[in-house]
Amino acid sequence: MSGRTSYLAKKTAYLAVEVWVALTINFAIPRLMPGDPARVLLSRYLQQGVVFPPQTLTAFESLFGISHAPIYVQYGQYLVNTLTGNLGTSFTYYPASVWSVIRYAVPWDIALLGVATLLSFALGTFLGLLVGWSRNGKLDSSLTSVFSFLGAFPYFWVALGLLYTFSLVYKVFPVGHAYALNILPNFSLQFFGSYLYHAFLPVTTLLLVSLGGWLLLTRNTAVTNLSEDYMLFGQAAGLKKRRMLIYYLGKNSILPSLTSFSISLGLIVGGAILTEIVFSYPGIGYVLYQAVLNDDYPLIQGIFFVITVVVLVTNYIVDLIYGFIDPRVTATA
Amino acid sequence: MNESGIWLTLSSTKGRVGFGILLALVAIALVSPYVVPSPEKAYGQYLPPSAKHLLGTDYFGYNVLSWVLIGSRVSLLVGFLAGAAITAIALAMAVIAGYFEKTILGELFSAIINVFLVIPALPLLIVIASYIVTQSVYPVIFAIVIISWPYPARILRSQILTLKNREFVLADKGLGLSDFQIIRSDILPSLYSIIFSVFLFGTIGAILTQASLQFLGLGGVSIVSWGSMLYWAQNEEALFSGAWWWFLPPGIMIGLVGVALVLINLSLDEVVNPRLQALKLSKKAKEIQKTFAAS
Repeated sequence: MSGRTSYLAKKTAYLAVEVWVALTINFAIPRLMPGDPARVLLSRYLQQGVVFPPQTLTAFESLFGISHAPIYVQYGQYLVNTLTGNLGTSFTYYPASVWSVIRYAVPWDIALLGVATLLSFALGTFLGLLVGWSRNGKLDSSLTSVFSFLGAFPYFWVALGLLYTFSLVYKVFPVGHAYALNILPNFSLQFFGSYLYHAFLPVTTLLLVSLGGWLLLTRNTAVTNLSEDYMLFGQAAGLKKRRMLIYYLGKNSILPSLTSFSISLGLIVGGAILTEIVFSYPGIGYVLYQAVLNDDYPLIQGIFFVITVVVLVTNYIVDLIYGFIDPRVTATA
Repeated sequence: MNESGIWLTLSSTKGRVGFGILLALVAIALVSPYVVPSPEKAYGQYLPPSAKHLLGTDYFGYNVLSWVLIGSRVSLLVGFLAGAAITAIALAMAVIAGYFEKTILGELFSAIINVFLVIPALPLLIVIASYIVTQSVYPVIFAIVIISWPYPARILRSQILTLKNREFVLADKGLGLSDFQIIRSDILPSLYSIIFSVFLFGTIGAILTQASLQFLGLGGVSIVSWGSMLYWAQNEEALFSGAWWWFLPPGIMIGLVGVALVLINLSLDEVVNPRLQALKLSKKAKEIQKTFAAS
């Protein structure tokens, strides 16, 4: 097998194992934790002083699809159901199926996360290069410490502070939602403008949480690359600073940070869940919050599964692109 | 760096400030239950900060200062306990996956680290936490540890992979030292500063994650803690009512713990990283040159 084929095969095998692990975790958690969802829900009601007749448990069990069949039968059933897109019924949005609830929310996430991820990658890499170039200078120490100290504060708290300042005190931005309620989603310029206006604060807060990672990563690669011979050569040849920065340092420092894309994606997805709650943004994170508030177990688990698969597949694609641009990776695979 | 090296961080200003803040917070956590009024005692609703209630009262009429000070107990407990457990598990996984890289067990552990690294942590934590019914904080600590170990394990593994091919390790191997001896006397001592740094960031991460979880209404919102303060403040729309004194303090306190730990980590860098030391010296040398040139 050539390097590229075996690289592809290896990555595909990893993807399959990862999806299988995610599926199995999703299957195992409700069964490992004390009490199944039906009993958990009943005990929650009991704590609030609501008492149900005994047959309620059976009703809840059939709602959650809990069976008393042998565990391997349940596992097989679960795998078949999930892989055919049958994620159960949500009871927050009853009678909608979990899949249809998720499908409705996902476009908003793509709109929000897509913009935030691209901006954070571009801006973080650029700043990282700049800071790495003038390492230990004023810009370096100030930016590095600003981002490490910012990371110490709860991210949702910072987001709420921004919302309070810009939407309640100064009323510059809307307090929530993805677009003005008097406009229907369509392909008009008016709707697009409203979308951008509503996305500004959420995207800005997502940048705050994810920019630092890219910046530090690129900075560290850039600092290592600065001592390479080609940098010395470029300097000796009297190249302009801008050319050195972009074509010599930049080209060699951007690639390695792509390998950390998976971790950054995980961070930004976690951040997005909290952002959407703070800004009442109608994406999957907001739906997850509603599901948590209503003990909607089918929806919680369906969302975990969909988020995980999307993250895994995105990583897979990035890995493939990376293998395509950087032949060194496929050569050693 | 040896064990006593961690105390070297006290030789830098950052380290002293960081440890100072941390000690003060630990003291508050230990003493506050005996000093401040009970957080369950209700006064008037939304009383602004005054001499009687230094940080005012919340929607339920509780004294915010009592909640802030007593709430430090949960955050510090979660942080240090989870931080220690994350470090221990990450280190164990990294040693097996890194040092025994070529064995079947090593490859298996490496694959486990790689797979768990890419499964999104917060969604997984939410799934686990949604099944926790008790108002105890220990199951939450357990869940946080489960989702937090893979990233530090990866960092430690890559360090071990480079370390095991260094001359002094190979020399000891050539002398016939056992794997256990090499790990104990060569690998681990060279990793002390990174292990300590993993512990610091594990602690910050655990405190932030626990607060996020409570903000989502999970992991016991009736526990007196900074996370549950933020949950109730958001739930009762404190900011819309202008009660900033309820919303600001818990976030600032969490940030303060984080800043203290980041400062300690920065001082650790200064102490162990000879390049930074050299930089300091060369700066001093330049200053001296300047003064000479001026005179």
